[in-house]
Amino acid sequence: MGITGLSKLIADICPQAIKESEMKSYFGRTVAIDASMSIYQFMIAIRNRDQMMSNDEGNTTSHLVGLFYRTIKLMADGIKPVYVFDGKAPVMKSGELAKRSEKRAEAEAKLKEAKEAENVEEIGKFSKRLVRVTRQHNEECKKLLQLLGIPIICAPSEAEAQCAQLAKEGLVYGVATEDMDGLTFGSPRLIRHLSSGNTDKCKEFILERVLEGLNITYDQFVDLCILMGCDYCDSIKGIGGKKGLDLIKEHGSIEGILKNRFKITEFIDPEIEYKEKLRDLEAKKEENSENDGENANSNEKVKEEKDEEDIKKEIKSEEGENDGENGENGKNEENGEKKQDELEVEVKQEEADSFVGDEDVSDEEKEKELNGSGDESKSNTKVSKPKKNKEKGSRESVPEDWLFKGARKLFLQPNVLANQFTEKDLKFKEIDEEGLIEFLCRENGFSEERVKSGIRRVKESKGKSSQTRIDSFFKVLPGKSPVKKEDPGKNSGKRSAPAGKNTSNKRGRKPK
Amino acid sequence: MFEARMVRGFIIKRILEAIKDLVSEASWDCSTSGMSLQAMDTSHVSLVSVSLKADGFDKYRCDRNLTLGMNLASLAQIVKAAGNDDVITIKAPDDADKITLIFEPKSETETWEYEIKLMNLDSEYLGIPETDYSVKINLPSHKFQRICRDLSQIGDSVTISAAKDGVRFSTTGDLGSGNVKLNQTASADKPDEAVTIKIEEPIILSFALKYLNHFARATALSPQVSLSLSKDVPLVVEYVIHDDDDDEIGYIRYYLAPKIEEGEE
Repeated sequence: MGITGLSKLIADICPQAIKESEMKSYFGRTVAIDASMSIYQFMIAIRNRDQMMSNDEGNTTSHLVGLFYRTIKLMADGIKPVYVFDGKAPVMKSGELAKRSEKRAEAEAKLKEAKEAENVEEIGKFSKRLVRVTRQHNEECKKLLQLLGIPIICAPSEAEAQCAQLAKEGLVYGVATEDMDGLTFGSPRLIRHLSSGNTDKCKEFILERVLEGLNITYDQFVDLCILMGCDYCDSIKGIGGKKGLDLIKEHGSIEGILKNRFKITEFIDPEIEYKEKLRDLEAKKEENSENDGENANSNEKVKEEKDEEDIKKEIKSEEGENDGENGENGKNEENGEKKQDELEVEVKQEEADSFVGDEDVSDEEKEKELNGSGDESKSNTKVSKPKKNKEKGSRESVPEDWLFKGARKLFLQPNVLANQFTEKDLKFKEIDEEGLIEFLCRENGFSEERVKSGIRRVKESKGKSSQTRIDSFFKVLPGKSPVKKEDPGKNSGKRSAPAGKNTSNKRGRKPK
Repeated sequence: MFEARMVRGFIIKRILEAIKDLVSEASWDCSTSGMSLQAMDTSHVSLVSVSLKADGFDKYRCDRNLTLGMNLASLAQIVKAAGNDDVITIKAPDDADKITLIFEPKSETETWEYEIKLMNLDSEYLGIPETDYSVKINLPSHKFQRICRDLSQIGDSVTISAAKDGVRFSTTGDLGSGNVKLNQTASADKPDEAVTIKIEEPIILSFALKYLNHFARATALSPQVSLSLSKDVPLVVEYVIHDDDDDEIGYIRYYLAPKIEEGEE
């Protein structure tokens, strides 16, 4: 998921590319959201004890709870979301998917252990890692969004790429995601932390300013992202963000780096293929095992293993001997990712709290989360040991048969629907109140009162959305923004409410 | 070196009172011609633009252009402590990371001095095009304040319709509806209480009362307020600031994006 360390690199080198603002200021804007990723996050974050929330029939409803309340919150703030669903995954992503699957299998084993040992904390932690979004979940979410009258788009391939395309065409203001590769796909604006709790400010990454700040072209930026580590292929060991940036500037492209630094002159140019995502397979299987109730766990495990085998077979032909090579980099990357996931989960957790209130998520749960991430860092140190050794040797090694060209193609010419949508397609429709109550309350056990109050909020927001924005009338003048001073000044200035103390003892003075 | 001294310190107090709830952080741009500020509220629905001419100060010196970013809410808190008759002086060195505020009560030999840290704000400046407005209404600012306040008891937004027979401010809500009609006044002997209406083309536009109520906090700055309207552009609410001799020394202008009718959805 995303680009390893990209947000940190941007924050370090060109902080001016990040604009912090309140969620309110996105009022009246249409934003594209990667639905598949959101659903996944909801299923992790929104839980009752260590179980996902479910309806009377035992089907998961976490994703619906999350999506419903999140969407209402966005709309109440006058933000218009457009949800984009994943299509087929590029075959090149199998490597990444396999890694995730491995991770999952590992978690599965640990979960079993934990269950035997009756370690509640561990059970919670590992069962979260087993979360899987199935086609059924997707379909339910689509249904919910349609009932809410919110536009949805099914991407031919990666949702993130389609989001970026919508932003490029100016149909949406930006892409709201935590996944930094939205920028790599060319989205002019990427908004992080939109709707992640009230206190957090949204961070808006502006591609143009990123390129300006890093002083590279967009094509070079894509190469840099590949160097830093993306979902589609491995990266050169020992080269991270800063070094990568320096090398890109020096040699112009990955080819240049490989030629001059590693004396590699032959590059593989793989065909880009797409395949149905695994969860289609799975969905079928799940249907079979659905009624098994208590036994579901063991069944799932079998399924899990099968899937893993499936992917392994599929990627064998691609990665071949590369498998061994995977180790180092893969782990590092994975760790970064894990950490990020954990963080997100924590944020989401808070959000979940505020959404569903006391009834559903206890403080205990939160604590568990924190413990979980603590453990995470421990295991981090474990893995990072070999990395240190590597650094001592300071050897950089290029993955054999490196498929960077394929990754580049995926970023530069992603499989998206271009110029196919108009503003009409992204229009909001009437909310289907009856349908929502039927779907959420009758079928999925939501409290009718809450759903109704949610619907009321959406209706109120419709009135709000007829308010226009002042900056749609007056154009922002370029270049008049003040020269940045050194960072410390900025921080100290921002944090300390400067005057408060000074005044407090003198404020009582009576005017003469 | 920047130094600006205002004998009628209450002007500065009132300006800050009039903008602090709308924009919490903003930058003052100081040049030889005066001090100005432009900022949008956090939800980007309205824009406030303040200008104080160099002539309006009793002493004004600005060696090079400065941008003073600050937290207006905190600044307002401090300046609130100054007496209405205090002389207020703002000072900053050229490469400032803070400014100094000095209050001198007229009758006493004392000075109050505050140093305020500046902030580096990533502000966006909007270009406001010259516009010929179809309707221009001048009315006593307290009357405008009252219209906004009273109508907001009924509804969230006000519809301003101007036609030959006068200007109508109307609102509807769950409770019922409210309607205020203004006609041009005839008498010229009380200019502050006059209502003048210039209409080139009749208009009907709706605006959020919440913001108008924010704007009305500038009432103390000027006895008269002017509203300028045209179809499909933001409303301008302007308070002109005068000195003792009734010369114009600056203004505070609010721009508010209109509400558009349902059906666009």
